[in-house]
Amino acid sequence: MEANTLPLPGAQVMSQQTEIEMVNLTIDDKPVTVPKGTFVLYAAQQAGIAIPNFCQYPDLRPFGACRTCMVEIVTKRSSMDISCSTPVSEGMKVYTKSQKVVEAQRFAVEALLVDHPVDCPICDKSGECDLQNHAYTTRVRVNNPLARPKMSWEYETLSESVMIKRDRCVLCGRCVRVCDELVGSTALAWARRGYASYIDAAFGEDLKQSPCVSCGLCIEVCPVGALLNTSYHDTARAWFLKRVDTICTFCGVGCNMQIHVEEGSGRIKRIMADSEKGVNGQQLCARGFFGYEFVQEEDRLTEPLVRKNGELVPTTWREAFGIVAERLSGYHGSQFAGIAGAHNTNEENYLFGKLVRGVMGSNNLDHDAGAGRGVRALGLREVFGSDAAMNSFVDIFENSRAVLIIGSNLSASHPVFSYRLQTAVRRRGIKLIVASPTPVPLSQIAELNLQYREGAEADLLNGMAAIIAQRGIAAEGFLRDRVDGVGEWSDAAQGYSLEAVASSTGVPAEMLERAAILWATGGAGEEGRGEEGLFPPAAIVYSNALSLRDGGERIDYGAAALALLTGNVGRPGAGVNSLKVANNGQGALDMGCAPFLLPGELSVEDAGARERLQQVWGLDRQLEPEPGLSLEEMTRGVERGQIRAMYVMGSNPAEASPNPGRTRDALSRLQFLVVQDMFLTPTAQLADVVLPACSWAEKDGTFTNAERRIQRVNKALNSVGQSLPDWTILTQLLERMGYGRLYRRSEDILDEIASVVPKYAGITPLRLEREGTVVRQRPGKVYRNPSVDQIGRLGVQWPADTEDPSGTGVLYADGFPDGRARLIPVPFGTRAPLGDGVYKSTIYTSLYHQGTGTMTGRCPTLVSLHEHGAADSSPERGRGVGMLTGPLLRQSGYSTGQLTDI
Amino acid sequence: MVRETWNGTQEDLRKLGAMMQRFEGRDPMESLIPLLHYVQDEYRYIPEGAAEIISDCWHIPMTDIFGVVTFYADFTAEPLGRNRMSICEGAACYFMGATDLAAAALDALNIQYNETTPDGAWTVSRADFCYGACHLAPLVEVNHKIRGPLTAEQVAETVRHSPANEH
Repeated sequence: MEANTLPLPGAQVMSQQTEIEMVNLTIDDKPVTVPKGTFVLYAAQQAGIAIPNFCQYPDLRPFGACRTCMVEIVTKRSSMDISCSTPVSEGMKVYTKSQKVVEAQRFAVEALLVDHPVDCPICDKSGECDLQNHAYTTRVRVNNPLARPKMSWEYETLSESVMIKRDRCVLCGRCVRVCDELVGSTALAWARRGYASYIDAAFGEDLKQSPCVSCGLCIEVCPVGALLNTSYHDTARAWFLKRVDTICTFCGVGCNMQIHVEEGSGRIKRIMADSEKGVNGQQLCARGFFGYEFVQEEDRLTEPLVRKNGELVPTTWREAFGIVAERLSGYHGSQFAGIAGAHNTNEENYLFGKLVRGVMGSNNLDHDAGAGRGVRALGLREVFGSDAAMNSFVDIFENSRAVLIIGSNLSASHPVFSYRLQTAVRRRGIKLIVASPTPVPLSQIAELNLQYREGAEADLLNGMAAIIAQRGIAAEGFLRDRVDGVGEWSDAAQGYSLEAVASSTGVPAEMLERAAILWATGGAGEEGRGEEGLFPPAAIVYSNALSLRDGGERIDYGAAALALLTGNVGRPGAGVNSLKVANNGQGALDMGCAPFLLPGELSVEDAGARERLQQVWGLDRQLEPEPGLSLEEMTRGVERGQIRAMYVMGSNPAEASPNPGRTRDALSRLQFLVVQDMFLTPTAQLADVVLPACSWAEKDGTFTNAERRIQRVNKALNSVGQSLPDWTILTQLLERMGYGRLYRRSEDILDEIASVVPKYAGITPLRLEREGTVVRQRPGKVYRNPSVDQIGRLGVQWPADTEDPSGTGVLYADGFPDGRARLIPVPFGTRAPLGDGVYKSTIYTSLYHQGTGTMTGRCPTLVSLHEHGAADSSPERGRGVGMLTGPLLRQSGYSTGQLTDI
Repeated sequence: MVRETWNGTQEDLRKLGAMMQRFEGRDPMESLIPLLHYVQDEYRYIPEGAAEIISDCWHIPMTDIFGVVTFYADFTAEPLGRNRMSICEGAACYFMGATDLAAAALDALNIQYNETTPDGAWTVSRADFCYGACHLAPLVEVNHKIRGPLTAEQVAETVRHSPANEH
């Protein structure tokens, strides 16, 4: 693991650099002031001067392969140098347009054109190709003086998702370097040398046999048409594509992406990351890059269906709404239950809650929080006051000194987070500790790997905390000032003797000690205590699917104990970060899609909160004060005849449930079932009325990602058939039920949310649009004038009612909602029950699929990448298994499951 | 010199292990090229299986090993013949009839440059560098020994009658 000593280009977002030294220089006689260490190329970009280049890419180390970015630099004397890896110096004069420079740049481009086939008319990249642009801007000569017979290569496929046409390659190495530096996969290699060089997988293998994760970044960064996207190949011309910024619909990372829609046909042609400063940098994963094909699948629901004589038959919206409104009026209170969707927008989930709680008077409201499970007791909420990840992703990457990952294969559940963490670990030397029952991809770069027995997470975390307490490296001052329950916790910690924990978890005692000390001291060692009695910051990260099992709150308590004991709460680079698995899992919780929580994580037992909600919703009756049934309990509720009608939005419990057969039986026993979905899922097949909903690409709204960041989703296409956005369906249904036309646009709902949910106070569509906006300039595109053409958005992290327009990056920095946090003791040896079967191995869901595969299973590219069978339980290469249902698997779904038998 | 093909057998693993042992305590990146020389000498190519083991044990990405193997002319990713002939086509040898020598060797074996005969007996290539022995032009290098001046007949005879494994 070499330390990165070379300065990284671009601004160091949020890093805790004390003083940044600025350097003054002139570029083409324009004065520029930039931080020391900036490369001339970036300084020029900042001054609005584009310098042609191929090999440089933001956030990569300088490479200097293409020699196209030559400029004339005058310090003491005049010299020619490449601007991509020459740092600025005080008083430097740079000329980018002089005769010498233009000739040097033209020579470099002409040299690249010796073998390039110039087959632009049939090239996918035409219109957005850097070689086209630079050939144009440097005015290459038609009769290339360097010409000789060209070497030519045919199209080849490297995997089902990646094609290569090697003669177009300019050997800039962006693909090889992003794969290594930004993704950590090292799937692409340089082969041979000199004229004969080319890009290939190691030993010419299929990329699928390599560590490739099919994230598509190599395709995206290719400045020419050498690496090609098989699903985009030969389907569209770049200048007919409209680019719409939006947020990914799969996991909790909430990547910013651009949907490229063909202007004539109105179809999605591809997806690119392409915005500079989203949470994802420029990266996407396989799901984000290739996972749009479901939007255009043939079997999308295009019209409402109602059950007549046992058959689902097409009908009109008018009739469907009529039936739903009429039938629902026959049920009230706990007879009714609603399941919201973790992939729906905040607006939709809020409205759904309004329907279930306000109109139907029921608290039987939940959503699939992961692994087919509803929202649980929320251990973190009990300890800290809020169930959310504490620190923003960028903060962890930039400021953490040690990171503990427990029981999660983040490379499959939150891929882009794991890619960026990998980069941070390698560049900043973060001490990474991976605790997992089976090796995961991040294990390879971990300082320590703790392979514990499945189910022993609580013992492991509390055991590590006990070691910290015994060693005397706990943050006494922090505990005294901000934490309650230290005494009780210490008493319980007596039960965690090192030997007992070692034998319970299966991790050797010496490893446990090393891990505890490494993490608690932020890698600084026991002598490394800082000024305020705290060690360098350390963070805990896990997928929240881990704590969704029975007894999972003990894992939250353990993680919280570790963080509180070491003072790793409320400061940069620290925190307990339980990442929600679904793209809007956090939002669904914030919107109160839980049986015991109102919007804003307020308890349903809180009379004041109910009162306020009744006022805003204009209800004349009281909201129910008793918590309702959770997702799992609903099945039993139907079985014992309590629940008679159900409304399911964007969820598929008939497949996702840990016990699908029983859930299916229960659903078919209902008197009335409404399902609102994009596809005729197994749940929808049981419904009495099926309402066709839009995909995320066809609607506006907001998603809240796993780091509490509220981001705008923008409509990119027209709805398929008669399908409507979920919020429109709910609005019209409410109107039909006699509540008037409440909302005209999704922004109207957001306004109401901002007034009801305290954390969302101060959120406006405009603020989400504007805050964190970064404008960057790319060298001009051939068919457009060179112009500022990229706007990246960052969104706002709740609590949003802050002076900082981008919200709260670090939760609890100014104290806890209840004043103090509370350490909750967990008696030793309380293992999370694993269910009634005897489990042979833990399996992880696939990188290429999510949930029950309703969306990903309809993306041919993703399906073709996913070729592993049910018996594969080794996620080391980032693939894992997915979409397993049936008797083999007792827990299926988002993050982990247990295989009963192979 | 024993020359075998890599089959991933216990014997192969033992041999590779012994080679890697020689670099114990050294920096893996520095040791890679010398190690690959041992492997190439032993197996006449760098087997993918061997590269995988090196990659796993020394934490060097497969892509880096592949890059080194294809970059240097001394390493090959495909098995070479048991005998190797390099024909110099430098200026001196060229004027003394190197092309005739090449044609004679390649015709006799019915292969092209950089190809190996189907029976694995011969690989013929164009010399990558100057042998500094222009007074012997036209010359060929056969199994690390320089021979010259030669006639086309002599070259054809060499490849035709040279028994396998002759050095």
